[in-house]
Order: sequence, then C-alpha cells, then structure tokens
Amino acid sequence: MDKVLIHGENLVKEYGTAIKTRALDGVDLQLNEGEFASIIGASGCGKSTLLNLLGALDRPTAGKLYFKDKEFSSMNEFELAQFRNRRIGFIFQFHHLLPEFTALENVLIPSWIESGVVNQKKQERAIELLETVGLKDKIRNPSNNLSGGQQQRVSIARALINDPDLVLADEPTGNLDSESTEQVYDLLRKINRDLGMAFLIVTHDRHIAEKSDRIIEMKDGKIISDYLTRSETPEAIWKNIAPINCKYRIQFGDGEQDEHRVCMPDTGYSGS
Amino acid sequence: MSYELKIALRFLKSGKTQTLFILMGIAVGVAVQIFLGSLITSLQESLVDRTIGNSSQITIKAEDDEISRALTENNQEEETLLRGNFSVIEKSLNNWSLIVGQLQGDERITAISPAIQGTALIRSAGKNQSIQVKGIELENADKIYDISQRLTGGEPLVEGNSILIGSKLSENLGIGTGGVVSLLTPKGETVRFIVGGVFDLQNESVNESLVFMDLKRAQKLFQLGSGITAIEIQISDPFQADVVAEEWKSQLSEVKIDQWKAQNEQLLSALASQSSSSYTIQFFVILAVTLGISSVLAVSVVQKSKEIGILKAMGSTKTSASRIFLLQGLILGILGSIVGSGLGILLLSVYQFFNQGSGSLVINYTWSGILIIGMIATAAATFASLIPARRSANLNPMEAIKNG
Ligand SMILES: Nc1ncnc2c1ncn2[C@@H]1O[C@H](COP(=O)(O)OP(=O)(O)O)[C@@H](O)[C@H]1O
Ligand SMILES: [Mg+2]
Repeated sequence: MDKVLIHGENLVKEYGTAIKTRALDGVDLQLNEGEFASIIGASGCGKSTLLNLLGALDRPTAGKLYFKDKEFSSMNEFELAQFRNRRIGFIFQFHHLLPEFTALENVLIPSWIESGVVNQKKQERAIELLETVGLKDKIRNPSNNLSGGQQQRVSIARALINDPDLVLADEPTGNLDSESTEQVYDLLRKINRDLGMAFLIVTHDRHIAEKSDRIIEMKDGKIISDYLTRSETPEAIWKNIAPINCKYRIQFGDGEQDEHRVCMPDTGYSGS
Repeated sequence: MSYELKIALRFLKSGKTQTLFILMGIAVGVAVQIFLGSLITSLQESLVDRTIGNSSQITIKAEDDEISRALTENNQEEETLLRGNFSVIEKSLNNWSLIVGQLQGDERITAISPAIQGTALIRSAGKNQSIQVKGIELENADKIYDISQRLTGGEPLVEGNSILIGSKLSENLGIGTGGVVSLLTPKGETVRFIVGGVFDLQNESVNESLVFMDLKRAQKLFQLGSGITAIEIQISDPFQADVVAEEWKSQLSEVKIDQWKAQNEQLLSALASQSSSSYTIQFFVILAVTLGISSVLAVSVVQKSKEIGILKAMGSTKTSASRIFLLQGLILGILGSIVGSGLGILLLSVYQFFNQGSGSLVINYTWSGILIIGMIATAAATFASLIPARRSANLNPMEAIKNG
C-alpha cells in the first residue's frame, strides 16, 4: 500500500472580492509518495492554482489540505515558508534563476535559506545534482549566461537540493523547444526513479502526460478524470488526453496500414 | 555571512551604476556636511576666541552702590553720556584675597588675575589723551592677556614706576621704551612714569588706550589701600561662563559677577542663528540623500520582484525579504559615509591649501564629529530603505512566478 504524501479535501479557491472568480471548485486529491503524476487541462481551468495550494504558496478559500497528516491551516506563515523550503521543490515555466548568481550558487540558495547562512555544506551535493542534469562544466557560469534549456536544468537541480518529498512543476517545458523538452522530461523521470521523490507536473505536452504514472485532468476548477496509465492501453490513454486541446485523428501512411497519431494544436485553446 | 547579506551584496554589485550613483549621493552629502560643519564651527571658534581669548571671561567686582546701580540699569550709551568725561575708578573690592583663596580650588579656572581698573589722562610732550589704567600682577595677567609674548619693544616688567603702553598709544604720543610720561588721576594728582615696554594685543582700541602698571603702584595711584577693583578670570570652557558665574554668585556675598556671555548677547545670538542655518542646510542635505536612496531602492524592489518572489517560493520569510533591502541601505550608508568622510577631509585640505597665510582661518575637524555625521548618514540610509524593505516583505510570490 502506497503512503499518502499530500491530501486535499474539497478544495475551493476564489479570487477577487467584488467579482469572485472560482478557480478551484471542490477538488479532492490524494498524492502518494514517489508518484509521478501529470495535470492536464485547458488554460484557465485551475491547474496553477491547485499547484500553488499544494506548494503552500497560497491558502485555500475552503477545504482542507494535509501533508502527511499535518493540516496546512494549523501552520503559521513562518512554518509554511519552512515547509516550502524543506518539503517542496518548485520548477517554473520561466526557470526564474537569480541572474546575479552562478549556476552552482543558484542550486545552493535553498540550502542557504534552510540554514540562514551562506555555507558550502551542500556544495558536493549541488555539484552532483548539476552533474545529474548534465551541467558539470557549467557550474561556475553566471546563470544568465546559460541557454533556456540549461537554465531549466539548473532550476531542476535547485528544486532537488533540499531533498524535497514533492516536486511541483508548472509547465516546466512550456518555454523550451521540443528537443530540450524531451531531455528535461527524461531527466525528471530519471530523478523520480533514482531519488524517489513525488512529482506533480502541469503540462500542455501530451507526450509527457502519456508517459506519467498518473494523469489528472481538470476542467473549470474540477478534476474530471484521474487514472493510472498502467491500467489503460496506450490507445485509450491517447484518446483520453488528446481531445483536451488537440485534434485527434489517425493518419494512414501511403498504402500501408501504418497508424500515426497526430497532435495538432487547437487554436481555440491558446495555452499559457 | 547571512544569506540575506550575500544576496544584498550581489544585488548591489549587479546594479553597479545605480549603486555608484547612490554611493556618490551619500558621499557628497556627507562631504558637504563635514566641510560645512567644520568650516562653521572653526569660524565660530575663531570669532569667539578673538572676542574672549584674551580678555576676562568672568569678572568679579564689588557690589554696586546706589548711583552706579541706577546708572547701569539704564543702557550703556546713557551711562557713558552721564559719566562723560569724568574720570572714574571703580568701587574697591577689599576682601579680594579671600575670594581668590576661595576660588583657587576650582578646577575650571585656567587664569585668575586681580586687577585695578581706572581711568586717567596721559601727558607727554604737550599731548593729552584719556586712557584706561590696569593694575596687574604680570605673572597672573599674562595667563589672560599674554602680554609678555606680545611686546614689540622693551622688557616684560611692571615694577614701581615702570609701565607698559599700547603700540598705538606709543605712536600717538610719539614716545617709546624709556620715555617719560605723566598721568593725571581723577583725584587731580600728577605722577611721572617710565615706559618700560610697548605691547601689541592685536586690538586697535586696546592698543590705543590701555596702560598696564604694577598692581601695588595702581593701589597707591588710585588711593585704594589694599583693595582692588576686579578679579579677572578665564575658565576652561568659556561657554560655561554663565553657569559658573551663577554658581559663584550663590557662594560669594557682596560682589557683582559679570560674564562675557551676558555682555555679548548679540554675538551669541548671531552665532546661534548661524548654527541653526547650518543645521537647516545639513538637515536638507540628509533629507535629499534619504529620499534619493529610498526612491532608488524602491525601483530596485520592482526590478527584483521576480527574484524576491522566487526566494519566497523557496522558503524565504518576510523578514528575510525585507532584510535584503535594509542591508542594502545599511551597506550603502556605511560605504557612502566612509567615502564621504575621505572626500570631506580632502575638501578641507584643498580649501586650507588655497587659503594659507597669516590671519587666515584654520579649519579644524574632529574625528568624533565625522563619526557622528557618518552615523547619522548611515542611520538615514537604513531608514530610507524601510519603505522598499516593507514592499519587499509584502510582495506576493505568486505574482512573481506567474507564467509569462
Ligand atoms: N491572482 C489571480 N487573481 C484573479 N484571478 C486569478 C488569479 N490567478 C488565477 N486567476 C483565475 O483563476 C482561474 C484559474 O487560473 P489558473 O489556475 O492560473 O489556470 P491554469 O493554470 O489552469 O491556466 C483563471 O480563470 C484565472 O483567470
Ligand atoms: Mg497555469
């Protein structure tokens, strides 16, 4: 039996005071330790909002959220900051490194925040992680000297430095070309296997979703489907996830019965 | 090193132009304050020194009789008008040695000199001039007037019939060292004296009308017996003269105590208004610097909002987020003060270099004064970073990490 890592009950999040936007409308979610899950859904359906609640960047308007039996609402601001620092690793779409620091320093910053002082205690671990993400020869580079894909890999290493239980990634490859996307995704998957922390990834990329252990699909602030990929056939998965913002069709090769799955962006959903 | 300090330093380093700009602002502000402050303080000190450096700061006299009191209660002009051309000797202080003995132990006193003040008419080669006669013990009077060092001719001696006269008087009468003069006292007596020396006390009216003679000889001349007319005193901190005088008034009976501050109210109020205008300028310099730092740091918070947001997402607390900007203010303040102190001292030496020569003002600065200015500037810089720091503390990390 898998251990529950994070658990949300009837989560509601409303924005605004005069005109209220209900970004989350009663979400129940349970994430197990070591799980590799994707969230998909049209732009504006509440994916980022859900991630922000799980990462303790924001508090829900209603509903309860537990991290290993500890209720979020019982924690004060300082405890939440500490929680983010030690338990959660964040990866954002626009990598968000601190340009004043080198790649290595950026990776070390969460460890400095943890201890309050600048120290080299985790230096070896940071170098190891940079090696894992394939940036061994870039550790002393100023972070704004790196390409987009390299920066994103630095931010992955940074998310891992404090050995979090859960890595939250909000469209981590949304800003990268398809080659880098593939690399970053394989890297996340590998880290998940090697280090065993749970991943929750918001993505627009069908291929990434397809390869996850679990796919959570959202619509209008609700979870409309949530299933494990190993319990479905590849075709069923593809059919499930494709209509979200792809036009699904089967293309036949010349004469032969080759089946190609083609994903064409639906302009009706311009993802952000 | 705290990580907030590391980040603060990196932020400052990355915004080199901005940082240099604020640093120069603070440095110039501090330099102006040091220069202006030292200049005005030195000017005032030199003015005060010229006024009271070589004169009695506290003078103890016999209590006024009825007539004198009535006269002095009216204004000064009237007094001279009334007394006019009459020669006067002041009322005699008979118990003076007792008073001197009583005050001797007071550590604030740097000079105490019993004196006799009177007026007389001086005559030489058919010329007449009204003069002030001061009977002194040279050794004690030197501590106030520094006569021995300021002789232009003759010997520093007042004994018997030997007197010292001012340089201008010597010129007017056409008489120098070794010459003989006659003094006509208010009582109508004429006595002959020998000019033993000529002094220059660097004060035109003193050089023109003052004559020093031996205290004992003056007692005889003005028929005072063993009495004197005044005890002249200097103290270590002249600005305490009023306090000290008040204190002595309660200890000594039947005397009148004058002190320079009461006699120089105009000068003092001029100095006070000069000081307050200097403080006003300094205040506005600090204000301008503070506003400058505050606005540059406020812009910096906006520029760095993404980074602050990401730090918060990674677990930085509000306190840390504000500390990053408070530290920037503090660092700018300290560096700016150090550079500004150097600049200020440089400015003073350049000024001094171009204003050399006798009689020109010597500007003094004190390390404690510079330290105070530096500390005020540092405090102001830190204060200026309060608002940016608050903004940084309240920045919403979700805004910063929003995609796009
Ligand atoms: N800070 C905010 N203030 C007001 N409305 C917001 C805010 N953040 C998100 N929303 C709204 O909440 C809804 C869900 O947004 P979001 O969670 O960002 O969607 P997604 O990440 O799935 O694209 C959207 O309608 C969005 O406009
Ligand atoms: Mg989003």
